[in-house]
Amino acid sequence: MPSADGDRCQRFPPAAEPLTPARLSTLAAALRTAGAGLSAMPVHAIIATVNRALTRLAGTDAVNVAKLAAASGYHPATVRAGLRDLSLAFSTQQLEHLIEREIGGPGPLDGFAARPDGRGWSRAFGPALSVLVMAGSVYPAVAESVILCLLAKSPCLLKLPSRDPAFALMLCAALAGEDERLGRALAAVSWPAWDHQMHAAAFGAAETVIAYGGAEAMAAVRALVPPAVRLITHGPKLSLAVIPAADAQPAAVAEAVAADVAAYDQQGCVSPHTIYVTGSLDSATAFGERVAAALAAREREQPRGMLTPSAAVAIRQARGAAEFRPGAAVFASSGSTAWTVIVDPEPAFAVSCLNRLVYIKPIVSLAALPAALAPVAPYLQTAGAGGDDAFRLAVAEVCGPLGVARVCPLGQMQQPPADWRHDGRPRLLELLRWTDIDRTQAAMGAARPTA
Amino acid sequence: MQGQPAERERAALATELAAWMAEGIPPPSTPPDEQRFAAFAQRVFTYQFTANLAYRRYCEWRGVTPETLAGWQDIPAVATDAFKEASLTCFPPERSERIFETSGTTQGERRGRHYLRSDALYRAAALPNFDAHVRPDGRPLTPVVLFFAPAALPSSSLAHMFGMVTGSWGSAGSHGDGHTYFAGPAGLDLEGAAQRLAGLAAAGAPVLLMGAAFAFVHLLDHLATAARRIPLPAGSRIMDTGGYKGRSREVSKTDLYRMYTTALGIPDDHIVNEYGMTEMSSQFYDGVLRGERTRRKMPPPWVRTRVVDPETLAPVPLGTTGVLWHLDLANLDSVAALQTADLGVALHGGFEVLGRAAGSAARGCSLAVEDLLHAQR
Repeated sequence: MPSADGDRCQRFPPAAEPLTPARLSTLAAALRTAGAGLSAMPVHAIIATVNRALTRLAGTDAVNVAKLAAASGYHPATVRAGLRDLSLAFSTQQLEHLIEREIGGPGPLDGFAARPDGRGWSRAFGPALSVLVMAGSVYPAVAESVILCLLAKSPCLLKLPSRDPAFALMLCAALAGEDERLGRALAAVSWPAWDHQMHAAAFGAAETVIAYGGAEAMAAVRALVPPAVRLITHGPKLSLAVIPAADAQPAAVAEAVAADVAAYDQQGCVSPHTIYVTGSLDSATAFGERVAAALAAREREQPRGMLTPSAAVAIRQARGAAEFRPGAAVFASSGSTAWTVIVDPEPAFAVSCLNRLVYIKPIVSLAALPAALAPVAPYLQTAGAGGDDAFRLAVAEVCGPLGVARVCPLGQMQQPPADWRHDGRPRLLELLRWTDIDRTQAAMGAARPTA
Repeated sequence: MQGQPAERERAALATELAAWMAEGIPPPSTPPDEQRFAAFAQRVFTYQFTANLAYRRYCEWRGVTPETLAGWQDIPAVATDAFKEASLTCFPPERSERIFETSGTTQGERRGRHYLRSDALYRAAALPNFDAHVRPDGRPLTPVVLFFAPAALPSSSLAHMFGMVTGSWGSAGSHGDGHTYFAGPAGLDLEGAAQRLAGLAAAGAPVLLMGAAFAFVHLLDHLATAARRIPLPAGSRIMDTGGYKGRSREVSKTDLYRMYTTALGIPDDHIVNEYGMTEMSSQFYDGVLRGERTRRKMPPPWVRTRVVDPETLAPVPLGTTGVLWHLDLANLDSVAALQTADLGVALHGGFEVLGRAAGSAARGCSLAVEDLLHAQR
């Protein structure tokens, strides 16, 4: 049982009394009320506040970095790199790109704005209350979901992940520290998965529920959200990378792949599990050796985090099984489970046990990818691709129909731009509902482009 | 040593090991015979290094050969998942007397296979250990098994073991001509088992009730729905095995053992937990029936178990959780040194099993292999 003080630290805003369904309802009502303050802020002011908060987080002192490291198991170097990357990923420019791409500019978020087609005026409203069910400790995923709600001017109730609640709490505190209107519109709490009364209190108060988690958790949430409440789920995803044979030589390519594997210890939905190299098993093996060297170098700069015994056992077993797989080769850190490269001739996509264990597989040509990916197609997210733009286009032509949402250069898989189509759909637009003002039919007719 | 000489050494080892096993299990207070174990371990490793090419390459890659082996602790262990990849044998696998398979938890998952060259050696290892821990008093017992008969599930090492131990005392201890096995194509026959137990209770015949722990949970639930209690005659005992999770509602071991006592009248010191693996030929038991007060698994003389840190593979201090490493000399024809996925706690003179490592549940939004298997269940 957590002490009162421990419990107090696990909430935003901090509170000593235990959370009950009644108190959760009161909290949700207060958040809804705070929505007015958020609505009155111009979106550029929200963006500026977010930027200041993220910049402050990027400069977090060693004590807080240590706290975050302890909560997540990440090495402090991973925490620092993650915080630094956040302020770049959600910079003013990036967030403006996002708004531009999805709704053509900030106008409709701040008031009724004339539509570019001249047929009337439109305004976008965010949910009166968003409930975010958070799953894990990949910072950009947590930050993205909160920031999107704020851009939509929607107050947020976060259900903290049981593993690593620390980052989400620190983010809320940083945002509140910059502007109390944001602070009043944010709350972060936790309750046990089995406590359905708490779920009912939270989901019943929401206009929209956005949930992250495993397949089982998503099914549980789906069953608990009332039919009138909108539910957006982000189930678990898998990513891959594809490298043309000609690109398997340079050390820089192996280093870029190692960076993608090492980022957030491979916990992101954009982290690669399997790397395909077009060509022979020999060239895949040679590439595997280079990736191993790059992972070893990375381990010295940014060591893999702490694992549970179960997670380490999973790596030991994956390595041990591959040692006896015909044609397979294992390159691995010695005396630890820090990093593992398994070169495997079998083309079927291999799902990793994560924590910097990656499979490298030869593939005859891109045409063989659909068969190799078919069993995991519903889970595909991002494909990193080596080579040039033409190769990336070829990869997209093959992987797009399978469900891959993003094809990106190697080394930046874990840094999607703010305006990316997470899970293949617009994010901000999905949160918004619209009010249109029509012009008279005569005026709309006049505005209609003439054929 | 290859071909004929290797075969001769194998035959000699099988005979000598069986003779050692036939000496039985010494009392817990007896210090283990380290010299004898070390000598056998060196010979078994040399034989396996010679006769199993895949294992030999694995050892050479680690710089370990019979000539350089410093002690049994350094024998390279094979991960149990490797049994899913290759036939790890020192003989042509098509000449197996039996093949045991791991129970795949999901469809499509590859099963691990343990090829048994000789049932005789398996038997030689299993029976004295079972007798020492489950029937140290030699009392006649009527077996009731909450599992499939061996013929119904020939690939199951557990079914084979139940069959072997119930068959070993023939019909001498059996009471009446009732059924012994209460699982079949339709699943568990809980009512059949309950009636059989009630009949034996009425006849005053002590019972040995055996099965997987999840089956016991079902039996206890079945009895509880009718508020039934079947106090079994004095001397009756339970041998349960396997995890308590996943297959039925989750029950803590303490709660389950309390329910055994309440529903079946079996006291805590007559409940023996067994731990075994498809990939092993030897088993482990609690010593409660031989007067040990705390539960711990003590390896039989021809087995060594270490609890190691999965990160470094170094042995963990007493009282610490790690992963189990076994050297089972009864695995003469496969691989003796095994790196398991079973978590355990190192105890003085033995260990306790915590269960199969749950794998690495994803901490973020990615999908770990365990989650995917779960999603497809």
